[in-house]
Amino acid sequence: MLIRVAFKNLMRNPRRTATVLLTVAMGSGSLFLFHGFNAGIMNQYLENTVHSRYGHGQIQTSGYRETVYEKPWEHWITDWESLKNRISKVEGVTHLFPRVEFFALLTNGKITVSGRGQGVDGVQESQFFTTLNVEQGATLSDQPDGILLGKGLARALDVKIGDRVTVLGNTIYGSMNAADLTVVGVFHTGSKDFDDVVFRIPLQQAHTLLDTDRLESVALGLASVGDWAKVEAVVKAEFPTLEATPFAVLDKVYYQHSVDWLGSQFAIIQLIILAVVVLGIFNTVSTSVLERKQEIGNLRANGESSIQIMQLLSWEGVALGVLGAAFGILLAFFLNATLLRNGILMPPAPGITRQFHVLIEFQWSMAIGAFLMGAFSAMAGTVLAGLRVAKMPIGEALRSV
Amino acid sequence: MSHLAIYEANGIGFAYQLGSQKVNALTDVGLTISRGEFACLLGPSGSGKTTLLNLLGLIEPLQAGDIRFDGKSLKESNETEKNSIRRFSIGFVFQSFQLFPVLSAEENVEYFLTRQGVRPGERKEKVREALTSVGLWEHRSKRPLEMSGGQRQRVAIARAVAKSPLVIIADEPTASLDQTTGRGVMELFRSLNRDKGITILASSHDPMVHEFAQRRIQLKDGRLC
Ligand SMILES: Nc1ncnc2c1ncn2[C@@H]1O[C@H](COP(=O)(O)OP(=O)(O)O)[C@@H](O)[C@H]1O
Ligand SMILES: [Mg+2]
Repeated sequence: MLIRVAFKNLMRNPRRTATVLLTVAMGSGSLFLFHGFNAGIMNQYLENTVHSRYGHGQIQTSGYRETVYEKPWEHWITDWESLKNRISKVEGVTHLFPRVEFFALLTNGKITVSGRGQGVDGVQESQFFTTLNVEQGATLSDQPDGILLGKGLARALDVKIGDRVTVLGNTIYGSMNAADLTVVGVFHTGSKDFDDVVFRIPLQQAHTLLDTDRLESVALGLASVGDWAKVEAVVKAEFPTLEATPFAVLDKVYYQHSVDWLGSQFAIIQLIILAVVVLGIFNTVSTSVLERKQEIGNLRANGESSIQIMQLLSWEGVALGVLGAAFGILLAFFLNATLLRNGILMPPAPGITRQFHVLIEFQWSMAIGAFLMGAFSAMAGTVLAGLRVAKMPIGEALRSV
Repeated sequence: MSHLAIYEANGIGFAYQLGSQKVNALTDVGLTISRGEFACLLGPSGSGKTTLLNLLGLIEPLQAGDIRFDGKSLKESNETEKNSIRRFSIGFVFQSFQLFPVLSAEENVEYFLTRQGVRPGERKEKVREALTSVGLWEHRSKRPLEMSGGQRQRVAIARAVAKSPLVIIADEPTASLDQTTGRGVMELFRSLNRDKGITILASSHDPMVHEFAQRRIQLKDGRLC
C-alpha cells in the first residue's frame, strides 16, 4: 500500500515528476557515458603503450632496470633458449621479443654520428608493434643486413632507402667492430629525442657486432593484459635471477600517470554530476513536499511518526531514482548504439602521436554503478527535502495552507 | 482494562507563540468525557474550541495541566505511546476534510487500516461497512475531487469510523457545507453515536449543530463556562 501510494503521489504532478526523472536520467546517463568514455580512453592508452615499446612487459635480470653498470652486458640474460622454451609455453604468451641495446657510431663514409642501437627480432616486432611510424621504406623484418633509422638520424646522415650505412662499435671485450648494413626504412615515434638517436638492426647483427649471444631484455606480447600475472609467477618461481616487470611500471610516466590522472578527473566530474542531481531533486521535491504539508500533518495526527513519514517519502525517492536511473542508462546505451557508434575522434593524447577514435566501453559494473549513484542521489534529495516537513509539529503542518 | 472516562482533563492551559508574543488560547480548563457521549464545544470564533480539540486529539503538545486518555496520563507518555493512541484510538474529521487526493474513497478509508496492521480480508470488510454506513459504497472508486463537499465529509467520517477509535474528534465538521448537507452530516454522527455507541466530540459555532449534541460545552475566551 505504501508503495502504491508513493506511485500515486508521483502521478499527482506529472510534469514535475517528469522533470525529476529527467534530472536523474541525465545524471546517471552522463555518469555512465562518461565512465564508458573514460574506459575507452584508458583502453586506447593501454593499447598504445603496449604496442609502442614494451609489449605487455619485459624480463631482465633482477635489479638491472634500476642500476647503472660499467659493463652492463655482464648482467644480461645468458640462457635464452631455456627461457624461451619455458615462457612461450605460458598460457596467453603470443610473442617474445629478445633485445639488446648498445651505443655505436653510424657513418655513411663522410658523416659520422653517434646513436643508440637496438638489436631486435624484426619479424616478431613488426607483427606486434604499431606505433613505430615508418615514413619511408619498410620496417625491419627479415632483411638479414637491414637497418631502420630514426628520422633525425636519417636526416643527419643524409641517407635514402637502399643506401649503405656502417655501424661502428665495441665488442664486449673492448675491440672495435663494424657491420655494413642497408637502410630499409625511416621511422618516427613523435618523440624527437628518440627519433634523433635510435636505430634498429637485426638481433643477429647486433650479437655479431658485440660478440655475445646474451640478451639485455625480453619483451612479451600477450593475448590479454590479464595474462601477465602468470608470466610473472613463472619467472619468479623458475628463474630466480630474472625479474618480470609489467608495462605500466616500465612506462610509468606516460601510462600510469595518465591512468591516474583520468581516474581522478572522473572522480571529480562524478561528484559534480551527483551534486547537481541531488540539488535538482531537492529543489523539485521540496516544492512538492511543502504543498503536501497538511496531508503530512493529517498522517501524523493519525499516528505516523516522523520516521514513517520519511519512509513514505523515501519510497517516492526510490521510485524516482530507480525509474530515472534506469531510463538514463537505457538512453546512454541508445546514444552509444546510434550517434556514438563510431566512437569519438580525439586529438592526439599525451604520449600518442596520432588522432584516435575512442569507442565508449560499457561494462555492466559501470551501468550498475551509475544506476546506484543516480538512484541513491534521488533518494538523498528526496529525504533531505522531506526532513523539514516530516519533523514539523503536527498542529503547524495541519494549519498551513 | 478500559476506563469509563475517555478523557479526564485538568488545569489545561495553552498559549500560541506568535513571533515574540504569546497569545493565550486556553486557561485552566478541566473536563471529563465519558464513553458513548456525543459532546459539542460551543463558543464564538476565537474562544479556543480548536485549540482544546487539538490538545485532546494529541495534535498540540501539552503546555500546562494534564490529560488522562483512557486512564493514561499524556504528560507521562512518550512519543511512541502517543503515536499508538493517534493510530488506534482517535479518529479525526476536519472542516477541510483532509482526504488524500490521489486515493479513491475506498483507498482513503483503507489507508489507516493498513497502517493499523489490519489483515486484508478484515480490512475490506471494515471498509465496506464504513462506506455503507455513510451511504457511499456505490461511490467507493471516486476520488475526492469527483465528489461533492457533503460526500467528501462523509468519506472522512467513514475513514474515522473504520479505525474503530475510542473517540471521533470533529472540529467544525459542517463549516464548509451548506445547511442541508451539514444537517445530513450531523444526522450521520448522531446515528453512529446512537446505533454504534461511538463517542463523538465535535465543535461548532452553528446552533444547528448544537441541537444534535447530547452535551454542550460552552467556551468563552479560553475558559469553560
Ligand atoms: N496558530 C496560531 N497562532 C497564534 N494564535 C492562534 C493560533 N491559532 C489560534 N490562535 C489564537 O488562539 C485563540 C483560540 O483560537 P482557536 O482555538 O482557533 O479558537 P476557535 O477554534 O474557537 O475559533 C484565538 O485568540 C486565536 O487567535
Ligand atoms: Mg476553530
